[in-house]
Amino acid sequence: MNFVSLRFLIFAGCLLPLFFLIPARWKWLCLLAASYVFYSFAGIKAIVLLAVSTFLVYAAALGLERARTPRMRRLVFELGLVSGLFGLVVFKYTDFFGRLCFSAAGIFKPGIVYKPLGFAYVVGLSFYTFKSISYLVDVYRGKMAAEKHLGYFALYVSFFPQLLMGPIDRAVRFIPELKKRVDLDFDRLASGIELIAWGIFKKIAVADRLALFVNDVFAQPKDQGLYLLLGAYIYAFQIYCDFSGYTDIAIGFSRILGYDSMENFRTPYASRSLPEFWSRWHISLSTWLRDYLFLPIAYRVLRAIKSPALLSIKAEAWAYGIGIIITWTLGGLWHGAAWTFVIFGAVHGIYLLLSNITKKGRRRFVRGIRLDRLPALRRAIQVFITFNLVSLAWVFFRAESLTAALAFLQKISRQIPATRRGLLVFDILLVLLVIGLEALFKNHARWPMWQKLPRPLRIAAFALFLCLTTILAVDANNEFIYFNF
Amino acid sequence: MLWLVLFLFLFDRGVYYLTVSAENRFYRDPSFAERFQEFIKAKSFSTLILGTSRAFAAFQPYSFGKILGQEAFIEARSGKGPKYNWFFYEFYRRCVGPPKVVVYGIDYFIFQTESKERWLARFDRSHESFAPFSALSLLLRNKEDIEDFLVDVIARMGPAEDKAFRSTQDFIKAQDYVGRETTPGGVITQKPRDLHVHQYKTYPGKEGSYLKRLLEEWERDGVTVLLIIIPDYIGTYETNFEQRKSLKDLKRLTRGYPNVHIYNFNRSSTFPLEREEYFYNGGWGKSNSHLSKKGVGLFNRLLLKRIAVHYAPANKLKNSRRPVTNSKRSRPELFKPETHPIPF
Repeated sequence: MNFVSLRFLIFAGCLLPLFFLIPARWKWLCLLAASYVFYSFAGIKAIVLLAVSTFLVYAAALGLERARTPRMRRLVFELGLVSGLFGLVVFKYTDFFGRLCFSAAGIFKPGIVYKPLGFAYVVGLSFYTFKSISYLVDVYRGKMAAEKHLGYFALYVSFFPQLLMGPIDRAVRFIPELKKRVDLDFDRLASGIELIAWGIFKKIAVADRLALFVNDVFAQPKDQGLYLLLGAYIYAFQIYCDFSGYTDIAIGFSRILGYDSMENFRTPYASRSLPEFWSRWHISLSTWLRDYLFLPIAYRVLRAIKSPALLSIKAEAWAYGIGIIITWTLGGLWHGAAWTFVIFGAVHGIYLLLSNITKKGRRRFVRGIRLDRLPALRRAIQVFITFNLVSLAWVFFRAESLTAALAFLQKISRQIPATRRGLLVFDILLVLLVIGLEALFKNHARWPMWQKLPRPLRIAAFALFLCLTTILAVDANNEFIYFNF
Repeated sequence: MLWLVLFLFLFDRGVYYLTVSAENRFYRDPSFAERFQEFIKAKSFSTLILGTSRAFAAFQPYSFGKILGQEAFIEARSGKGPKYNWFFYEFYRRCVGPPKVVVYGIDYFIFQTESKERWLARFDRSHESFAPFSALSLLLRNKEDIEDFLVDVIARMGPAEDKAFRSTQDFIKAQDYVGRETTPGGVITQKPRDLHVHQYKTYPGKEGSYLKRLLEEWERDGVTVLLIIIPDYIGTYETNFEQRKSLKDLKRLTRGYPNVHIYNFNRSSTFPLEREEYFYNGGWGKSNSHLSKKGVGLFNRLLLKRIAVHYAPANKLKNSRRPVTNSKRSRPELFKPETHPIPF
């Protein structure tokens, strides 16, 4: 079910009064039922997969606590991991790896062709699988006790605002959150509605409108010249508004229900470096990758290199390099079973590696040209370079194939096409508007002038914003981009 | 909450009013006519297509070019009845002179149709209206129109190269339209037990007098007029049970205009009305249906073969069937001219 639909409006309209009217001890059941109803629109297969995966991971976590020997614990943990990842691997990667294996086999036996099984991808699978896995690993590492109440655990996995596109909240933080007593709070209601309105604006008034230009540019890259570069920039904002719009709606809805979801975006395009970008973009995924993939790999590499250095390179550097490349390549693959996503992830891995390697050199260079005396200019240059690098990687993310992505990059030139300049100018104005409004929206608490405004005036500003959304909204019924992942 | 409802109500009306005012100013601006002229002259259109949404879905300017080698300009849309057509024709003639051929899409409900005030206001200030209590949200109710206006504004933001009129909503959409796919359940193919039939509204109806005016003007301008009765799905055809009456009415109205030719494609002998895949909506109980992508392809092939004779000698086809052509006799009523200000 799409958040920006009449169906969801009806769903929310029925759920909210019921949720606040029923006794506190039954609220979890109400939300769990609502989450399954919400997810049932993805089909019966999706529901069954969610329920089975939830139960197996729940049982594995309980089994971890009961296992007497470390070997037994390890076995239960691995069984839990396999059952947690089973759906994701089968429904998302079977055909991708099948093709890969058959291509490799083709070297030895030419003419062998893979026949795709054509499993339809189940929406939300990647997100709830990562939630389950993080829970299982945390229980295994002893960071938290296994959740005894199946209902609360099932609610954590299937909590509908987070189910389809995250945030990938951690069980250690979110299960206690779900257990706290919640009542209708008008301040939370107001701020939740504001956040939802902001998310809807970003999705239907900005992302969907920017898509009109971006889709054109990516579909017909021939003779587009400079538009290709601008198309890549605009796509960066489209995907940001699309994804962060969804997240804002999800967090806003959780807030209305009385729960605090984790933050997923912190103005990422204002980042001064790639590591900073990943600490501001899809925070729940990047921290997940760090905790459950990068750190275990890096520690394993460190343990494998017994001496302080290998080939005159420090063991820590080896650990960081290998860890970061593997993590981000897999992180790219998590987005989709295609080479474009693998390259997208690998490019970011290389960015992060180079960023780490050149850290000292860059600092020396900045001091050498005395740029450190002009911090504002330095910051602007850093933001500009980071944004360009990120936009370049988005081309691989957006392109239909690797060949298309490379052709897109090759065709960028200084030539300015004669048509669609109006649309381009409008999109640039829209991007500036969203940057301005976001600054206003995220920081309004800091502005005393805003705080001093009488309540009716603030409500008036909100009503005007809703009217602006109605005017700018594109009636295209576009799904969120991250629904595909 | 009360404050929010109050402000939403006020701003919805306020913003809508501002949008409509801006829109009227935008379209009445002299540069609009200049752009239009530029576009029309660049393409040297010989044919002007007029009508409602059914005409929009039925006539393909692309096919006129491909089959007949004639450039056709289409101005057809829901809410563009005879009155709007009259205003638009005046504007068209003023900008680029009369076309060689006018193709007019005829609907069963032609004398029931009322042109949208919003469209008319582009040509005539007296049609500017603002009804603040006509809907819960004026912005939502008129979203499609606002979007069209926004697309126009965006197109206008482009520099010289974008000045060609093609980027203006009514025209770009119409000029490039290739038809809509049929969707399952789009056409009602089962006859319901209690079928609500639709009566025919006879001439002059709501805007029939404007069609009469147009006929007068086209005769004066020496324009060949092809009144095309657009096919309906058989269920719709049967629902509109007074088909004969409507055809008779049309013939009576056009009697005495030798330049007017009627082509009736709304019968099984001229178009396969029973094939649901040729339509994307309508059916039993529905007063109108629109041709689908598949239907529009067939319809244009059939139509253009028959009307090619009117583009003679360049495209004269042998064995073309002659349409119902009127002789200049016994004209029923003469048009009494009224004065309407044209803001161009």
